Amino acid sequence: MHDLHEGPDLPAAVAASRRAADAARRVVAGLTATGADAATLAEVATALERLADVLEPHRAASRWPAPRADGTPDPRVWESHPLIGPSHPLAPPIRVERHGDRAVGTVTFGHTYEGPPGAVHGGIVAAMFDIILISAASIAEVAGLTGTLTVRYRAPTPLLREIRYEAQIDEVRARTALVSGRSTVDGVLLAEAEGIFVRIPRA
Amino acid sequence: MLLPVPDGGLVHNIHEGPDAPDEIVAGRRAADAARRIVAGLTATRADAATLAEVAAGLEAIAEVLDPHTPTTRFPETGLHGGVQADSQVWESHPFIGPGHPLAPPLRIVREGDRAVGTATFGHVYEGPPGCLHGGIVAAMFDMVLGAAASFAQRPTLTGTLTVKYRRPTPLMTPIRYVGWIDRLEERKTITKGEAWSGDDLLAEGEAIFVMIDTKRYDQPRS
Repeated sequence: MHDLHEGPDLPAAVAASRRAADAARRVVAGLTATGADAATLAEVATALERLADVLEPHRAASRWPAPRADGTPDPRVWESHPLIGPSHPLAPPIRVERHGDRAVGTVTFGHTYEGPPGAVHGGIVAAMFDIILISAASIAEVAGLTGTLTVRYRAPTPLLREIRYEAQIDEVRARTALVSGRSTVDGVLLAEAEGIFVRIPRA
Repeated sequence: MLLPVPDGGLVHNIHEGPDAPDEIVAGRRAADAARRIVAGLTATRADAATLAEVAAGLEAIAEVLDPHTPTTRFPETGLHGGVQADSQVWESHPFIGPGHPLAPPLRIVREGDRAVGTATFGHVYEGPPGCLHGGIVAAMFDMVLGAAASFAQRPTLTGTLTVKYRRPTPLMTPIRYVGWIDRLEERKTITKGEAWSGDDLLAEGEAIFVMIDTKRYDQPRS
């Protein structure tokens, strides 16, 4: 539901940055609890440092480009988002769609995001709820900031399975929106969450 | 009972000082370089040709690493020992691990009955302009409150986490997270905490940690 490029006709720069981000995800996964020896890791470090030097002159200080003339956000803001951005190596990424009045996110986690053995870190679970609850709030055009986020963990979120997050608005008040959501794997409840989002008055 | 956490030092069992084993030193150097790559790719201004060159370079590196890539951070040891567990478990942790490229890393020390975490975030973790993503704020509370809960030497997992956001967390400035045990119940450890930038209170957190049967996590995994 975010303004992200889809389909085969990607601009060349977006296609190249997604390819680079995918490769970086493989490198990150490869370095997480790697079994490689010190000599291999030193060789990898040298090669990574060389590539980092190539990127350095083009490095941004912020993800946010200047706003466009019509005031709408530039889609690059979502392309580089730390949780949903296909071009952000930190993002799993989670894919968020609108299904009627609900926001539905799907994502599969590898050991890069592992907390306890075989399970996604609880902090990552909370971060995913933040983005899915905000997405649901946006359906009511509540452009908001997170006021309060509560997550109740019912069962460990497994790695390497498709996890489904969904959320909907429970109530819109003058200055806040109350949103709730849940995460499941094959219909089995993993966690529940509630958020209070503070509305930003429209100019 | 888990091992006690020494006062004044790191809460988790992470190598410090000059005498770390060679593979840890090399792994941290590679992770630091990978952090530069992640930061370089986040909202990069590089053109398609430069990005294609970087992608090809990263793919070649991934080929070297792939044969050594596990499917779990816990190949042999399980979670035995909690915060003082096998150091590899913490070295590769997604938020505190110096060897994990996605970890800022957050550094958590014990100061008396408080767990104190410090981290500085760049635009890799940016949500709204100039500010840390709210989901990452919640993740930091999960870590620091969990560290505080460990002082009770009970094996636990997060049951409920609540974060109240007071003001945006700025980038490029040291953020201080403080957590403590509020009270102990039979099977629950209730913790509270705060996030600070200088004298500004940024957010407050509360978490209930629930005791677990460690046998479930101590088993070796293949």
